[in-house]
Amino acid sequence: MEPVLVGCVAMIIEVVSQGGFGGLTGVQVTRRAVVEDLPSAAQEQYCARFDPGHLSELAAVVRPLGAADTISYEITVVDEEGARHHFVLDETLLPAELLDLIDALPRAR
Amino acid sequence: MCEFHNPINCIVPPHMVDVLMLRGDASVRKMAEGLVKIGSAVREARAAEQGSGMVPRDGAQGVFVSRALAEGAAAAHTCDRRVHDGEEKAGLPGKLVRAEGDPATGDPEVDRAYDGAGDVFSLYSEEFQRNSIDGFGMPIVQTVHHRRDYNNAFWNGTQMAYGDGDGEIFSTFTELSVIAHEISHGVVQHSGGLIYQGQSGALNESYADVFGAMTAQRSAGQSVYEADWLVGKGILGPNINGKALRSMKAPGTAYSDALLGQDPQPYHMDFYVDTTSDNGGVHINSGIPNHAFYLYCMYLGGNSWERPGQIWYKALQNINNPHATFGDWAAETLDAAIELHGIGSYEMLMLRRAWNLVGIDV
Repeated sequence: MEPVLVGCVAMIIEVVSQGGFGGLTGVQVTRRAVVEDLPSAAQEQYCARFDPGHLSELAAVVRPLGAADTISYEITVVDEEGARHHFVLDETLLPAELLDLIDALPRAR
Repeated sequence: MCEFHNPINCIVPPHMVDVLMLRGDASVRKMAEGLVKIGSAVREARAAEQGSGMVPRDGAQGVFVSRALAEGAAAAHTCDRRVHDGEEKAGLPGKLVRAEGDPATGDPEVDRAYDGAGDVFSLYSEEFQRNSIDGFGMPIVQTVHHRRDYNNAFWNGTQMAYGDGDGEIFSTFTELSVIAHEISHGVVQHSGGLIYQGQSGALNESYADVFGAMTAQRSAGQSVYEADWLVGKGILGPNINGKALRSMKAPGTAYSDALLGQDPQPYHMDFYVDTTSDNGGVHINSGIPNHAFYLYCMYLGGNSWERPGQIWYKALQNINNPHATFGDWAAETLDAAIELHGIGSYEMLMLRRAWNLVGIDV
């Protein structure tokens, strides 16, 4: 039997990246995962980092205005009740640990 | 009548807050960020009351003088390069693997970043009397091997970072014009800044492309007629049908590929792309001022870093308008040409013609 993630709001995580130096607007990379399908050792990290409350706090921070060519992430978190939480975040606003978790998500392009 | 407790919320228009965040010191930026948060909440509340999703942005221009002035002669400038290995993680700057004066590491990404930054430093120091990114000898910090399969290179406000690419769309980012492009974003930031949105953002991108191409040409000893005018030459994946990421000579022709589509850059204002993606098309519409620079170089001949480059650089130092439009920028370059070469000079007349040819009357 799979372990139950007590207190984990995120059930499905989807991350769409766009922008960057190339400005390739036609090429979006989508990464998607059901949290319960992720390696059990990593599930807790995904739950914590992709908690909608945590992402809301990140979204409230203003992107450094001098920055250029950075990638923008559209992050959608579907919670246990099916509600969708949507955020658009510049990579300069995301902690390194969260970016590493995004890189580890399977691609669904 | 002011309806807020803090009167500055009523006085400072949003575009001026952007400039404060771009140019202010830490305390000013913190204050400006606070205004943005308050402003967003107020705008959302107003929009909800009025049934509108937008509140018009208007008001006068800010008056902030660039601090990024050149200091001293090139001989007094000291290059301080620091290349870090991100080890495919996102943490910045990562592990320091080559500092100024260190021998080559044998890692091509590290060594290209090091050598490339040297070429950029040399261009700005010897041709423009600028001491590094900020004009005051700022260390040039770069991270290679940033993240895993990362298809990007960027300037984050304090340093450059380069991914290795995923091997499919991109194969590397440590190509000289890319390195110079990213460092030049830092130069823009420390020269008063151009807000990274819409036309001012496209000008920010164009300046970075212009100085990226210029660095590559100077390094190769190429005149404007010998140069290929490509940005990001050879960085695309092996199966991508394209020669580079952008062409200043022929915007819109750098690649045409089943995966990437057609290079979307316009060469004329008639084809200006109105879009909300890519920060309002900053990497798309930059093709227009890019092409104007190319045309101007074709009129003048010689080397791009001489008369054309001097005019573009002077315009950046003088413009003092982070929300500049293409028309504002064209006028500033014309002022610079007049200042450097005189009214009615060949340099001034040909510059006007170059801007007119891309659909900008000046």
